[in-house]
Amino acid sequence: MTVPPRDDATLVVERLSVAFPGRGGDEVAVRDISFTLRPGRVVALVGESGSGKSVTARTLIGLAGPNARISASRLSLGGRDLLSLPPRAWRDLRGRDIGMVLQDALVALDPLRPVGHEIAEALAAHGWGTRDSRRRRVQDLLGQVGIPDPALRARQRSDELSGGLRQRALIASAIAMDPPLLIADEPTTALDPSVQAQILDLLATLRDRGTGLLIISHDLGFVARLADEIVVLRHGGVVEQGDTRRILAHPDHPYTRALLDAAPGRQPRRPAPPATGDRAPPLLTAHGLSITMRGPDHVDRRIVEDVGFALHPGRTLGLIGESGSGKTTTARMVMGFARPDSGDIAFLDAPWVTTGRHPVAERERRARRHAMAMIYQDPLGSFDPRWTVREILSDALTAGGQPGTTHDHAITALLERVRLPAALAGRLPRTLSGGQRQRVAIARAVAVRPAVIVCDEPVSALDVSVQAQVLGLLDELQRDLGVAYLFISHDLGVIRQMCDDVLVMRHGRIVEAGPAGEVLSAPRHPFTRTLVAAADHLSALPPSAPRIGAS
Amino acid sequence: MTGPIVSPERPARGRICLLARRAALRVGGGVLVLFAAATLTFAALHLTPGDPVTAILGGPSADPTPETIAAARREYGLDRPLPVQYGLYIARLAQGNLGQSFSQHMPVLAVLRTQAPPTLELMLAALALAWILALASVLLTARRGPAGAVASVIETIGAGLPQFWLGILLLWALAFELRLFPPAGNAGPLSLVLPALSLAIPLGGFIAQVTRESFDLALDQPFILSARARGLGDRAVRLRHALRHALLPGISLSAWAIGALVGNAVPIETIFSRKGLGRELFLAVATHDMPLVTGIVLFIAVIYILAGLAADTLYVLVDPRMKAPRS
Repeated sequence: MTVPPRDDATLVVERLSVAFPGRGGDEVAVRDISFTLRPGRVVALVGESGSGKSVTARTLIGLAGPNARISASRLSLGGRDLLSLPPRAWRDLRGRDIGMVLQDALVALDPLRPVGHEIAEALAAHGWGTRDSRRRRVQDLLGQVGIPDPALRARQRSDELSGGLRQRALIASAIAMDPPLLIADEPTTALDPSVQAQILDLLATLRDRGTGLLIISHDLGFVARLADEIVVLRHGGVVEQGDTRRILAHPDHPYTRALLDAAPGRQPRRPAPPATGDRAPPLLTAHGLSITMRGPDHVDRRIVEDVGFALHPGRTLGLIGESGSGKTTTARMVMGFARPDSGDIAFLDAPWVTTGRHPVAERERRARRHAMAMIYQDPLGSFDPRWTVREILSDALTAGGQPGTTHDHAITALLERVRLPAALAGRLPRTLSGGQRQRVAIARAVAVRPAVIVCDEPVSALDVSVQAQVLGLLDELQRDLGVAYLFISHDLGVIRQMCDDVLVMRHGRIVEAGPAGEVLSAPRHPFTRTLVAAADHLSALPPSAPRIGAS
Repeated sequence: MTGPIVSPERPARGRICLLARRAALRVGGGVLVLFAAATLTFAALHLTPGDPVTAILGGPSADPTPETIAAARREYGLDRPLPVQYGLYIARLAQGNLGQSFSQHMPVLAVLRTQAPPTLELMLAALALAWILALASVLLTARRGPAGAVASVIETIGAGLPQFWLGILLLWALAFELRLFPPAGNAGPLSLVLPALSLAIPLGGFIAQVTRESFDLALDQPFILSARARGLGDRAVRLRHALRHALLPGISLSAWAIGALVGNAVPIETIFSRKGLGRELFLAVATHDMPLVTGIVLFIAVIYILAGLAADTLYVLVDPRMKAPRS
């Protein structure tokens, strides 16, 4: 079989539908989607989870699964009909004619093998070169995607690389055979904003070299930077499709508008807090917190150094920084789960965590435990999988000191409070959607009537439109109940919307602190400036803003 | 993992110290296990009814005079108080002296030297066979429609079969009826097949079940999709990517199984009239041959310890992320 010439490598998708046999007949995952992908051009599929974008991507490389029922009036690559392609030919096509990059390279690359092997495998699978020439090609590729010191990196496993290097290595493995088309399925979702911006630039470079890109994302703002054409999907169907500028400037469909408006960067900034909030004595104060932890390599690292802050009732303190900057460790010390080497925390006018000869014992904290609650990024992992929503909430009410006889009533009230139907009480958490789960987690946090809720990336795992609802709910609860939030996020848009004050952390230290409005609009520290710049680079744009290297 | 490093790793010395400490811990742990095994054996044999002197003087059929019995008691130190006997026993073992077998009238070491190789042979053959059965079952049937479900049921049934029953069944069917294999003895590799199969089928069922589960999980991982997207075929994906992720539970299970195989070898070696430690242990316990029981128990403990070490080494080979310190 001969490789089709590059300019002939046009992927034509016409009225593609994919269905999976379900209990009550076929469940349609994708309905009547059409687009054309040419080398050097970028098409973006945008939609929230369950919209059928990943199924579409897999169908295009013949990996929709053995049960998938695929139909299309036309599905062809460079004139070759893909609908009737035998398995062997699909295998030849994958990696050579169409490459694919998945989200989160930590798991999208085999974690047990050096990344160099993974890339070489892409070459060997197509019988490319000899062992030696493949090794040289791997190093070339790593250099091409901007990985310094390729000879060393090729020998490391994905868990030994930083998030950015990992994602670059994954891209290198996808472009090893120099495919004219590349599918990127959520290529930056798990990454820090500044790394996201770098990957975005790398994809733009590939596009400029003549690769056709199909980018799949839930983030309309992100793809707007790169795409020539945008296809907005919802529940498997196309709701809107067209030129990027047109869609950003004049979205026709209300759903597209909702997606655009839901982007946290587009939300109005939080209004200035009432002045009284400042005068109220702080609920929680932390001074000089430092902690050293031993890594898996038996090397002690200072994770947090000299961190201090005060949390006032009814206010939200944001903790921002990239992954590994010590945000979550700080939260764990605040919760009293990790004991600092030095420093102290006072909570509700009494010592909560102290260091030195007589640290505060958990027994002394227990009476105040109910005044502090936590919301995690992944609520599913924080629920007992065998407990129904009712049991989860009842347990929290018991912890909050509510007598068991009142629980039924209280649970109905809690569910109403977080806008969930009361019928959900009998369900198991894994049968709920991501947004519903996070609402249950919030209900559980509120059930103990806390004064402080520590929120660790509470919306990072949610779709944008669900994010907006959950953030709205948190805001409403704060106004009604007067709780204070310690709010951890890497997403500056979310922080801007939610926080009164922010702390910017880097390498375990606070590099900047102050009112959110000031810090985010006029950052003083160079690191904060890079964070803000990266966030602006990625966020949804006003239609007049230029795209990267606009063609 | 980004924070500044507080105590920089001194490259060579720090690493050697660390390795030495880990090695010392392993050896210390091993010695402790041996000590515990010796003590338990001593206690068990002195708590059970029966008199070692009978064994010393030639078993129940001999009819020694009271004087001979008293002389033998003195000679073997059996008239001393129990704590003293225990002290002497541990002191002798610490010097590596396993003593004389009462019933066989030869050094315990000599008995081990002749009886251990057939048992080790049987163990290794059974383990290898179990893995072959398990891997064949999982690799060929996992995620291949109804075949996977059928194989999984067969594995579960296999795991539940008692070894002695399986041994008798195989003996009857393949040795007596079909005359494919010799029914008894230690002569040549053919005589190894039936006893090894009797031990391997249940063990293989267990290994297959845990491997199937993790293999299934591995096939759902995103890196499998990445590998397929690169153009890899199904066989390469199974062998090069998924299998390696599925091995760890089976390896831990095997470390445990090596010890259990010696115990299960007792009925199997008896059924197939094979030489070996299992049968020897059974006879030694029956005759209250204290030194021989101790010798065999300690030998099994050593095998256990070595199997644990081997499993740990394999773990790191299979999953390099477990290696610490990182280079």
